[in-house]
Amino acid sequence: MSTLFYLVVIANAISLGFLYMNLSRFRTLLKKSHFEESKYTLLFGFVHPGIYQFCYALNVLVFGVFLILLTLSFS
Amino acid sequence: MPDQPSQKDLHFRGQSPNEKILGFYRQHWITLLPLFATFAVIVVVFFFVAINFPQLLASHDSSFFRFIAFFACILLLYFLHHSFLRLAKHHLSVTIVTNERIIIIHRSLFLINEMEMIDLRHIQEVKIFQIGVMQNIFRFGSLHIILSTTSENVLLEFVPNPDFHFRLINKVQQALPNRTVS
Repeated sequence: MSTLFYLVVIANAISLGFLYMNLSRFRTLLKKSHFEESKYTLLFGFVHPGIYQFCYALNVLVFGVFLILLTLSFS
Repeated sequence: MPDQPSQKDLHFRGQSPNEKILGFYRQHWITLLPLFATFAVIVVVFFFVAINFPQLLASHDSSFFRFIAFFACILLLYFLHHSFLRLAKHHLSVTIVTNERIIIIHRSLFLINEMEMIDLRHIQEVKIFQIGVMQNIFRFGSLHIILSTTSENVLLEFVPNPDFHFRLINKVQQALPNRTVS
């Protein structure tokens, strides 16, 4: 395995740790406030914060896998 | 007459027992437009590079190209995290109008935690600004709150549906029992 592969694995581990930390903090802060959302308060009138979290996690995971596959294709 | 349930900390931290939320808003989505535009450009460039990747690899020095590809991917990973942090900041920063005060909260996940409160009795005047085509088409604007107690005024920018919030503040202020504003 090349040095680049190990660097990518470390970068992905840091990224996943950051993802977990951000999501857990966001959920903690959301629990502290309860509002009746409306079309003037949600993003674009309908995008719920759960969708942010899902898209964020999906993007980071898919991109991490892509990055590892890309590095493996080099060797 | 039955006692009304206490509102203490019901909707947000620091809510007093008799305080009722009459309205709240987050900044208009147009503030996130630069972020979405950058994201769209990066995704298009990324797919273009990914599709032409074998040709690029063949036509360039492979070790240098590997370094560039790795560096670009790390930057993209950073941008993904940055985008979510910006979205979270947008969601957590709210302005709340209650029957007693206006509370302006600026909050991010880790770095910012600011809260400002304006007593409705100290509001002397509220001005609404909706200037330009964009603001009128997408229905956002600014509220300029002039206070009677200090020379410092409060400017609320990117307020969605500013007419509604202007009328709401005006209505609540009129309904206050002992107004000190002349």
